[in-house]
Amino acid sequence: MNPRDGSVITIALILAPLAKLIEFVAGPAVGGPDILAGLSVCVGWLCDMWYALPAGFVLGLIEDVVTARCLGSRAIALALASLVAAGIRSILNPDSLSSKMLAALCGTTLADYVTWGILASRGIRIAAPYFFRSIWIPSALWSLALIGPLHFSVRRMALLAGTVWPPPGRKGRETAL
Amino acid sequence: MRRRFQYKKMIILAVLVAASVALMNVTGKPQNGPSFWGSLFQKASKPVSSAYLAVKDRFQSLKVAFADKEALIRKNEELEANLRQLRGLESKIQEVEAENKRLRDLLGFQENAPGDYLVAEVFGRDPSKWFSSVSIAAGSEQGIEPDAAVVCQAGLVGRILSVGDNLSTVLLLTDPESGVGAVVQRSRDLGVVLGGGGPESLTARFFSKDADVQVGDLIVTSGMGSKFPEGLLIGEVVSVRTPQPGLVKEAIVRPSVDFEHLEEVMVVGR
Repeated sequence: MNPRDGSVITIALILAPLAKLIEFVAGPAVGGPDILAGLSVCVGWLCDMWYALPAGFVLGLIEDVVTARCLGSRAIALALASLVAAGIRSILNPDSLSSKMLAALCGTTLADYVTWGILASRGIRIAAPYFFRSIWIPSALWSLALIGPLHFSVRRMALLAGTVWPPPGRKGRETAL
Repeated sequence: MRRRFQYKKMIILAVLVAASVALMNVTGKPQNGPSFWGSLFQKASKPVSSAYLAVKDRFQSLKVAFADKEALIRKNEELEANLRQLRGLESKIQEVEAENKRLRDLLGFQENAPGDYLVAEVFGRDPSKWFSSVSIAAGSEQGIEPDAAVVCQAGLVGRILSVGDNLSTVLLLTDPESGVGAVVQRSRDLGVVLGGGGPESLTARFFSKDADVQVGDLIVTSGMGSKFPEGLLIGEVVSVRTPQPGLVKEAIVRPSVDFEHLEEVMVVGR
């Protein structure tokens, strides 16, 4: 793992509980933005695919632990969202906002449908009209709106955090000396 | 000649004395209003005095304005600060009044309903869009047990899912994992009310495909099982689905509780 990937994943893992805390205090997340799905897509977009996959899993696990219901359902979903974002990045223009928006749309849609399916398989049935109207469509629309600011924020913070690592080829002690 | 002067003096003196006596009589009498001359003077002087007073007031105010500008600014700031304080106080009073009304409603419900209730404040909501639960500020130290029914003045809210020392999680009726034994209040047909349809929609599944249920019927808890007391209002039927052969009858129920604005709830004691 290079320092950049490490910084991006660290920043995402710090932001995830904060995002959940805000949602816990501010009110229900229904109809609102799915910040963790957005973070997973950002991680997938900015990191190597094989680091993004476990990072997305851990982000989903944070949501599962906070919710404390059906552990693993969001972990799998967000891992897939990161993977899809990383995959789309490898075939589209990585500097274009449209390609990031497409990755966000695909990632959050896949995550929502996977979660819906996992919950249904566990006997937790969410009515289809409610899923489409209040979960998937708002989540997809919010992901389109949020991916730009989220990507910018995570990237800037990761660059800032990346300065704590020593230059390539040198250890921290050698740099200090 | 000299004698004439003496008379003249006497006459003048007498006239002066008479005039004085007359004046004393005139001025000594009580009067209802001003004298003729007095009122004439007042009328004549009124425009002049009014104009004088107006000019004087104007100059006075200008003088005050210029002389006490700093004092006025300070006074204005004080008044604005007082106004802000009063507005804040007004807002607090309104909040206290609203809380008072809610608590009175709860108290009224508590007095009319059997059983022991513990009032608890809702302080957090499930941060997931997939599940519906709230956190309340009461736990095992306050005597709350898992699966206890949770109600508010509008009806059934849900049940206790997990209990901490001083906080508990309430599984709302709208949660996809929620299921409550229910009965149609009018026809007494039994069924189960399920969540998973969002905060404004519950699904009632009846055990009989011939269940007598109509739009507008009230659905209440059946009391079967040990989780919920009998007769707690769940909601009102808004539509009925005609069953396909072999399937049970279903109805869409609008919950009586506004789950989006829960602030205080009551946990039913055992």
